[in-house]
Amino acid sequence: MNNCQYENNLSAFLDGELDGERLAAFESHLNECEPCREAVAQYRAMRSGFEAARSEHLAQVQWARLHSQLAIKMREMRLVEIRRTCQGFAAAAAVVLLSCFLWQGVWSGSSSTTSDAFADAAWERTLIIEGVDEGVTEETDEDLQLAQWIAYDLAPRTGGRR
Amino acid sequence: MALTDAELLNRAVHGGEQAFHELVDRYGDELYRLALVMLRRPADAEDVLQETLLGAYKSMGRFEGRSSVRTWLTRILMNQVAMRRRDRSRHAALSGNRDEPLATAARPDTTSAASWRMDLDQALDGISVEHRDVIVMREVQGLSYEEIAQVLSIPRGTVESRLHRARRALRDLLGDYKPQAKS
Repeated sequence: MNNCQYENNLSAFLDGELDGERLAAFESHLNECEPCREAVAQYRAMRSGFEAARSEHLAQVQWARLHSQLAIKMREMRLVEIRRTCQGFAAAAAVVLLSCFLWQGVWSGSSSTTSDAFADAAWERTLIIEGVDEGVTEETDEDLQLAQWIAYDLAPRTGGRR
Repeated sequence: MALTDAELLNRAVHGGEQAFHELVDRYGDELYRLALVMLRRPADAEDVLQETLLGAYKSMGRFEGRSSVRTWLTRILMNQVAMRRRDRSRHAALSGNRDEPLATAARPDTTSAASWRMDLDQALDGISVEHRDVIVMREVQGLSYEEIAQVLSIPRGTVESRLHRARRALRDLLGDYKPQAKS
């Protein structure tokens, strides 16, 4: 380990990340400091060990696999997105339909008297035309008959007195 | 004239699948290298690369362009690598086996350069993950300090100090490496 106060600048120097003033100061220090020079040489040597890693690359077959897999997955993702959009639209449509249904229910509830009146009128018309109408007629005949009987009963009596 | 990364990404966002494949061609190799050095297993590196690119495809609409496309892809890759490491350690804990690096052992190369590479890989295993990450991003991918800072969301000064400690730790583990031993 190097106990030099400039040691912290070694990496930045090696990576070309020292700016003007710091670089000038470190370069002049390097001329005087043997441990720092050694450290720089060792780090540079160590860097060469990464060369093999830097030369790694995907083989042709790996490229082909990567692109085809990506294409498949990307298509799947698009389908999922389309499905989600459709589900969104379907949900929105359902909400709209439900709202319309509820709205109509409210309106028909408030106009129920009108419709009831129509229904009653229709019902009455039906009663009058079919059957109940006859009943009404019978009742009227009965009343007439009763009136006739009364008139008949009264007539001899009034005549007898006379 | 070749399109810039940002232009390609913009096209990809607006449905240009081919533009995304072009970005993959541009960065596939360097991302794979990074994943390989981090994970050591070619199959894992390939999986992680694929997951990274899919993750990028999925979230590209949210990319704001505050960093470069390269930095953004690297950040996604680093997250995927971290997840893969967690999975591995969980799996290793469950099975009771120690996770062993395979990539270097799989190479039947006996040259001194390959031997040095093996030593370096072993030394990389011996340093902390955060030190390994910065040195690999710097040495293998060639990211600047600023870019590493963006990828890891840490200050630039922290990158500098981590790199310094990482190199010192590697040097301590490797001993006095003789550059001339490299063929």
